[in-house]
Amino acid sequence: MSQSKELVAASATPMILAILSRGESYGYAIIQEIRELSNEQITWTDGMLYPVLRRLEQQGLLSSSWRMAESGKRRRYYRLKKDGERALGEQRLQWQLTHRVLQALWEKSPCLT
Amino acid sequence: MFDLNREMARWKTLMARSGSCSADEIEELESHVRDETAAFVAAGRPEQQAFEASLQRLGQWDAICGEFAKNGHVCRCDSLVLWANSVMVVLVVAGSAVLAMWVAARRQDGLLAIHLGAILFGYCTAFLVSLSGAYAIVRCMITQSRAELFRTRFVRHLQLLLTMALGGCVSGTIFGAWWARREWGQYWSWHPKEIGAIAVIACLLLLVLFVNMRRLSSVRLGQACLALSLVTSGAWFGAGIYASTGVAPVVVMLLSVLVTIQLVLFCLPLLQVALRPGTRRLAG
Repeated sequence: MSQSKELVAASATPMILAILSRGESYGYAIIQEIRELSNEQITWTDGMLYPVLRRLEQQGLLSSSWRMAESGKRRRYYRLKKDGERALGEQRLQWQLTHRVLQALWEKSPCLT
Repeated sequence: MFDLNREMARWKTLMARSGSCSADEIEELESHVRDETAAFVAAGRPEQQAFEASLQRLGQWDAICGEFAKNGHVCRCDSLVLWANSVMVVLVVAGSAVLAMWVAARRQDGLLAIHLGAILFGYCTAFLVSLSGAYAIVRCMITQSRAELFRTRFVRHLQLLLTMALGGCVSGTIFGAWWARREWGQYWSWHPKEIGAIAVIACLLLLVLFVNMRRLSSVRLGQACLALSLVTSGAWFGAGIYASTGVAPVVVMLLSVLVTIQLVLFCLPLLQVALRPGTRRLAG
């Protein structure tokens, strides 16, 4: 099952913010984490993550810095800022509401599949 | 024989030619491709296949560049306007300081100098808030591109300007009351200018509340900024005209033009919604 393009685009921001709320990370690791958590069912076009990260940084939700990883590779690490935590809180409420409404509707109506 | 570094350099040149990705962004993408390639190689694929597979996963280079370009293009215009606005704040600070020093030297009255300098700074900064508001309205009517990003920057910019305007107006009013006590024997006499200052402070506080609510769109915030400017015009020049304290006709004329422009800008979004019912263009 693959997600629609629109759903992938809409869910990208809360997913990125949620991953970074657990600690700083870098692009490749973020994509790997989403792949693992979704059992490879959510597959982003990898390159599209970076413009989103840049936009979130421009919005003041993230900050980034280049650092040398333990492996010796130079990587750009992203971390959540205060505004990012606030935005994540708002996103969480919105997605929980959507989830609750859909769940209530599907419990009442017969499954069509 | 496949050479990963050579192929990587070729791919980076292709990305750089697009002009949409900065060297920093290309380096980050390169780091990603190298990580992915290494993972494929570790899983047993030959290096060339691993490199090609990781490029495939990364996506079409022109599509990625297009996404980066969307981020940068409008931001440059927004940055320019907000930056120019910040430069004007510096000029206002300098102008207010010069006025305060001039009054202090000419009238030998430090209290009056601080009052005039602070109130001038507060009122002028309130006008600058309206300039940002006017830009927000026009920008959102022309394009909704990167509206969310603009709103975040606009809100941060407003928070700074409003704090400064509030600081100037409150301290100017306090020093003014102190000066009035010394000159006229009472802190407050409900003079039109005093009422005007209180109205501006009330509007500033209301706007700070709106901005921190983070619920209003850029256009609504822009309209609130223009409303603040209209109140400031009334408080500053209107009170002077009402009290007939020698406001030059040219100032009255300029004030009329300014107020008319602000009213037109204030009404534009309302007109757009009225003419096109159901439109969501101004949601940004």
